[in-house]
Amino acid sequence: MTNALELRDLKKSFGPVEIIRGVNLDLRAGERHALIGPNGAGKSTLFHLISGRIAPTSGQILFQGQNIAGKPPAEIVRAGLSRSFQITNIFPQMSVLDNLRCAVLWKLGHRYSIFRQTPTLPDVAIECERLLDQLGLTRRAHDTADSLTYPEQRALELGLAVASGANTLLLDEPMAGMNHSETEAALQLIMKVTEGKTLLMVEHDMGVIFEMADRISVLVYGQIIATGTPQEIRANRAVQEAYLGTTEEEAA
Amino acid sequence: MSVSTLDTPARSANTRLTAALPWLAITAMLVILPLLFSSNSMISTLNYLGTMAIFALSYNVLLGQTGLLSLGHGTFFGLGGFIATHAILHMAEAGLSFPLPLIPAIGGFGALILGVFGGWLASGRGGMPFAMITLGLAELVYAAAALFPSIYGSEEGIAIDRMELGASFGMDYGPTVDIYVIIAVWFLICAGILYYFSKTPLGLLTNAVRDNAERIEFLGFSARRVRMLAYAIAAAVAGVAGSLAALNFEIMTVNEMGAATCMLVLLMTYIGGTKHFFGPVLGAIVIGLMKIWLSDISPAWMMYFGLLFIFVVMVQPAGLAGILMDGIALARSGTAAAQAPMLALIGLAGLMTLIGTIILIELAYRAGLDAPLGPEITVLGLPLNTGSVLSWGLGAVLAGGGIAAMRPLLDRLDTLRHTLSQGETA
Repeated sequence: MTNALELRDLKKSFGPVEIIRGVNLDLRAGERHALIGPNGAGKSTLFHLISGRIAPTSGQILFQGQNIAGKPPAEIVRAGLSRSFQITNIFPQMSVLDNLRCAVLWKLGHRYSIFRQTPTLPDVAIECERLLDQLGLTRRAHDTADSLTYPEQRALELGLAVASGANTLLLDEPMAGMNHSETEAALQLIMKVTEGKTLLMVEHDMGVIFEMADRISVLVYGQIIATGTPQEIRANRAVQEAYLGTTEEEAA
Repeated sequence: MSVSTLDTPARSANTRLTAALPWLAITAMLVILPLLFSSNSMISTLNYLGTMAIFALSYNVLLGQTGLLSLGHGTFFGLGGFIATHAILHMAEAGLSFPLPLIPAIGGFGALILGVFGGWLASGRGGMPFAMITLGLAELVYAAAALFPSIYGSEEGIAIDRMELGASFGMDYGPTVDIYVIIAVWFLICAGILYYFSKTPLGLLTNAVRDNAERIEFLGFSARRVRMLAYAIAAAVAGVAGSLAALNFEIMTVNEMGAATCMLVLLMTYIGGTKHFFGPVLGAIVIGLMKIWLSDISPAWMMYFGLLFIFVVMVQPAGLAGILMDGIALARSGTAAAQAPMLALIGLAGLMTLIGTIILIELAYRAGLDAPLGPEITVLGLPLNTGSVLSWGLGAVLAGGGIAAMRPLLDRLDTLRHTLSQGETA
């Protein structure tokens, strides 16, 4: 099986403090991969490195064989790797439809065009209608994004990442702050919209992780201490010591 | 259910008519205005307002649409004006015939090129860095003007004769009304282009940059590129406005691109309202008229200017256009009649405050700056005296009473509206 994404000895320091201390990780094409780890382990920093928000100090990030380390976010998205954010990061004063329009413009080749009016572009309209339907936001299409409920905003956040047409998605805690039933709905939504895509996801809810992930990697103090199937991770002694033990008992 | 997200040309003719209505109204107004106000000085005033309206519309591409606070937009107004001026002078010297109404296209194109360059320098980041760089660039160009008197003229500027290029389109451009025709047509062209632009993919992306510049990077776009393009387009239209000003006044001076012009366009756009497409036009008209008429009537006109600005910032950030829209919404809500007595009381309190404030300001100016003119002064038909406690007291009582009454009245209005909306749902 080919790898969609490979991290090779990736490091990031902020001043004298090394946050990511040599991460090696393979993401297989088409798999759902969960990244777990205690608070402050560097999960979000790792996402920022991969998505180009910050540049790594050293190491390689190979996306489909190309080293994308240190490239600007826009180039990484155009190459086919997009992300969502832990803290909702949408266009608050714009309508839901306009949010999605922005997200599909690049992949449909309209880019910075000034020669057509966006509402008259048939391909944009079709793609946005499909996305609105998938996300369950059709009724809210013309409302401003900041008027959405929290789960709707999270759905839109996910939608922006998916709409850009990337085949590999980084999802940073897509269920953060949701209650049980909202989490269940969000999980179904993620499974639906990311079908056939490669997924790397940070999540805290162990129930969600063991339900959806093909493989799990555990990040502790800036290093991956284990990677494996949910069963392997459950059984891994180092993981239990560092992180899982208590959660496992709670879940049982 | 299905919500159509596509505007096809076939989409009901009704919606298209509604969309065309404001444009038809504006075109009709542009035709009627010079017939109503046909004196030379009135046409001249209209020319000035039209120029400023185009200028303010161009500024709103940055402020309202892209969320960029430029402190140096006057630069492109001035540069466009100088490019137009030199184009006329050189063509007249070479004996070329060129239709005068097309001169603003040259000024606009020149400003576009300079705008691309300026935008490339300024648009790396939004917010504070953008504001500071635009301020720096404006000061740089202004200071450089002193080094090139052949381009910018010295203090008296560069004069032109707009008739030198000869007649075209059946006009010889001597009468002010000929220039009015040019400005009115350019207003429609510029407003049309900017409105169209706001609906294009790039126009949508400028809104996205305003809302969340970082996020569009993660959707494949460069926020810098969007800012730069918006900057260049705004510069081009400002250049057209500057060219029109040069045609109207037949002179261009360095002052036209100084800090005062940069601030004026900011005030016009903000006070008019950045959230509505035609808000800046409203601002240009109101501020333009204040500048022309109020400066004749009162030495304190700058003070009123500032107070209006503070009022808009504090009371209605959507500007005069926002107040207008609120009014329309009120009229449509069907509760206008029920609210009318309360609104009238609030209006009365506002009027009291306004009159009181005007009395106090005029008295203060007369007592201070204009003391040599004597203590007697007539304000709004009232004979006042700077030495009289009664005069000062009248102003203070009106202003203080109005302000004191305002708060409880607004609270009552809130309660009334609450009751009305509850009655609606029940």
